[in-house]
Amino acid sequence: MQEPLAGHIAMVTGGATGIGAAIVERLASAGARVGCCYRSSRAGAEALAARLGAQGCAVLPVQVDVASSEAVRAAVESITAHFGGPVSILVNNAGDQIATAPVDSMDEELWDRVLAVNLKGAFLCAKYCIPGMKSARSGRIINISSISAHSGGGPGAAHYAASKAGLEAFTRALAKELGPFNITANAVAPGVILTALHQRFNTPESLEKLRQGVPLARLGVPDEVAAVVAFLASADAAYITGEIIAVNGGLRMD
Amino acid sequence: MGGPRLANRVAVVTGGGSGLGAEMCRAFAREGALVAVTDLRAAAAEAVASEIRAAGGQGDAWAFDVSERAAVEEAAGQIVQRFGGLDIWVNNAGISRVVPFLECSDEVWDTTLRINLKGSFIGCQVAIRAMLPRQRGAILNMSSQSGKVGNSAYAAYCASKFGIIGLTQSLAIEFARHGIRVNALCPGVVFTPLWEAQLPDYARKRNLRAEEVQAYMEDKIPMGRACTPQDVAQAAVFLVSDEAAYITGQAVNLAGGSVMH
Repeated sequence: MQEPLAGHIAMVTGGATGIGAAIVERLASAGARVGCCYRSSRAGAEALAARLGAQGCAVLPVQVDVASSEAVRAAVESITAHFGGPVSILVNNAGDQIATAPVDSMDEELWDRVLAVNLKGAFLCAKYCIPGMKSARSGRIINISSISAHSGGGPGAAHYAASKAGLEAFTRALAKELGPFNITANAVAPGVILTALHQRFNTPESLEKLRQGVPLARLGVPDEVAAVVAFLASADAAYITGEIIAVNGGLRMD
Repeated sequence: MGGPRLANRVAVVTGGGSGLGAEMCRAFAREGALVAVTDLRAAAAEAVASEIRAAGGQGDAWAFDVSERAAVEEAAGQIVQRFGGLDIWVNNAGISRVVPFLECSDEVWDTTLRINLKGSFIGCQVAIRAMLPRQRGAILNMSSQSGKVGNSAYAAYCASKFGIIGLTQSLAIEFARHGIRVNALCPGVVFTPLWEAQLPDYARKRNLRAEEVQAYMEDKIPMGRACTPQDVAQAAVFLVSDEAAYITGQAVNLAGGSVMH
């Protein structure tokens, strides 16, 4: 069987850890050459690139703060130059909650930073990847949203929930705008997936409570989100656009 | 990567003798599944099953009406016996009539709901009973873009397809603990035999000539083209495969951007 993503060049933000690292691994194993973008997890990105490189995959660690226009432009350029072609698959996965707080005591800086990373970052990466996709008349943009966009998020996470809801509306707008160029834009909305982010904002007891609410009776694992991203990036999903695919074990169905 | 994604899974597809159902049967077989091609029309089912076998796959045909419980149960029993279990069941059989609402007879309403919705209900019940002993399985119910948004002269069909999503979500919750996932697919317009048959009625509804309909419809789709049976079959393979292990209760659009909720 031919590798389903052979010939593709992917850019995955937040690619060094958690769901992002699983996405990098899935896309690279499917034959794509992958720019693994990280902000601070340099060691993680380099270790991942080395491990996948040893399996014959092509993964390039790229340092970038997605909230910085200049940094994103440079990252897209370096991926394009390194792999010798434009990015054909963009996965906007970088996201953070940083800290939680009730809205009436939430620092404006916290709100701004979360919106800058989760929402503006996706805009900037799309902005700099779209021209290459338009020229190729083909491309895939996949935004990693969250169940928070639908549920309103956990305690003190209004900034995170708002950023993810914005990301979903952005996804749909991209789908309409880019459909005529044969570029699809979709989002994946994970439920509770076992990552460092969840372990940071939950106790084992609260995770167990979350688990009990999931119809499939277990938390998800990063590779289960990555498998859906790989599907959306593949030729099999050519007619799916503007869609939000929930990967949540049945926790929400809207 | 690589390797067939549905190796040795036993898959049942209703309405498998033509259109989307036939394409799903072919795709499942290519991915290594043992396929029960079922259709109201025995000859149509047999033709697809023979085609699968000729291509080196495994397929057999069964003929039944999805709204006849006894016939569905009997065929399911034979399929389980023949293939040694049941892993995948696709409720795809359906009918579609474009009829102005005030001309919609009780017969059109009842038949549409009986085949599309009650047929899916019976299929789910029969499939789940067969899947419970092994505590795993994947059910896929064919809804439609018309299961997400209403449309004129299409009340019975839309009601049946909205109903399928309610059925899907309820069963996803009820049987998740038993390892059975239940999802729905919502294709936009696909130019299948079912569609061809109702083209004159659709043209009348929009005041178009029959040959203008395709361009009229595709012009409204962001991706600028209709959905194809291949698009549907590829998404179906994904949703019933282990790649979608954590996805249940979802109604996935295949509408080229026409519907986004």
